[in-house]
Amino acid sequence: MSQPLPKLTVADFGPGRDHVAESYHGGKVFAIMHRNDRARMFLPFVQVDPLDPFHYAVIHGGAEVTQFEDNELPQFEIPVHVVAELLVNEFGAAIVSMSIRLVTCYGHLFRTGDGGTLAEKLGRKLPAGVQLEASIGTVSLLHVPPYFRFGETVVWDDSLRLACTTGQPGDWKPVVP
Amino acid sequence: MTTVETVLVRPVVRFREFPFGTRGDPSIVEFTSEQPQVHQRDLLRYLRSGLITGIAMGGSLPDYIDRSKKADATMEGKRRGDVPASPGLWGGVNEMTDGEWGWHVALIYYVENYNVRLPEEFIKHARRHHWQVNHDAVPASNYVFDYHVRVPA
Repeated sequence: MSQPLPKLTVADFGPGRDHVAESYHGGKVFAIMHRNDRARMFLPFVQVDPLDPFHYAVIHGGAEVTQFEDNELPQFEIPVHVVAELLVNEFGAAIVSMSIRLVTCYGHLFRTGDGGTLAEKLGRKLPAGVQLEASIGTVSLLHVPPYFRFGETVVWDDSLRLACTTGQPGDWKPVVP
Repeated sequence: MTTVETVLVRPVVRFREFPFGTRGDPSIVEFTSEQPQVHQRDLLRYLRSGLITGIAMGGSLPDYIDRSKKADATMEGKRRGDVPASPGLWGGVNEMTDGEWGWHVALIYYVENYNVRLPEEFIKHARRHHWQVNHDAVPASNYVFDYHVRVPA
């Protein structure tokens, strides 16, 4: 198992910092990541329907551990409460009536021994009323077509300590904190 | 939404530990070797020259054989279109293709570090293409890597 990563705080995000919390596409897409993350190059090209009722929070998820990470090749963990605070800072009081999809690999994957999925943990830190959805498997920012793509449905395998494929790519799953 | 052709690529390998094998697939350990395979350097060149199709939002993958390491790989980082190329270290989960075959960045790591054997059919294919993916010959399609996926008609 990899060593635990140092944790970021809300103060680590913002102009002039190494990490960004920034919106794209009229606020429909909100990214929380390292400023040099390759995903930032893809985000301007992602096509999101302005009439889509969902907002999309784009944050890396851990392959081995139930945690948010700062980069494709992570150097920091982004604690769940930090993600929650950044979302609230971005959307303000309106967040209580918003539906947000987590564009995060393994965002809704349950690993044995954890106190819930990453999305469930985030849901517990957000104000009541926020509707969250997430993916069990991977999610990629695709270039052609420029959209979010799901990997196949997976389950956590305790013996391998990895996610194993069990079926076709899933869909967004509602999160009940 | 942009409409493009969807192409189901052929996975170069299917390992139970590898992104993203099923429990019924063989273990990657069965395909490791003490010695490099014939044409290994050429094969690595071919794999590295593939087209990266996107960014996984959790791209770093553990080395299943030595969990203290990561199965990420240094590569050219070329992609099609407006997004600038970004050479360097890439997360093992990211997908690559030559338009017909598909593999993950981690395969480069496993071939390079554990001499993981590749199927003869793929080796012949790479040799026919002179060990280099010609990006100009790869159509701008939606390349699908999944084992279970149904490609829309």
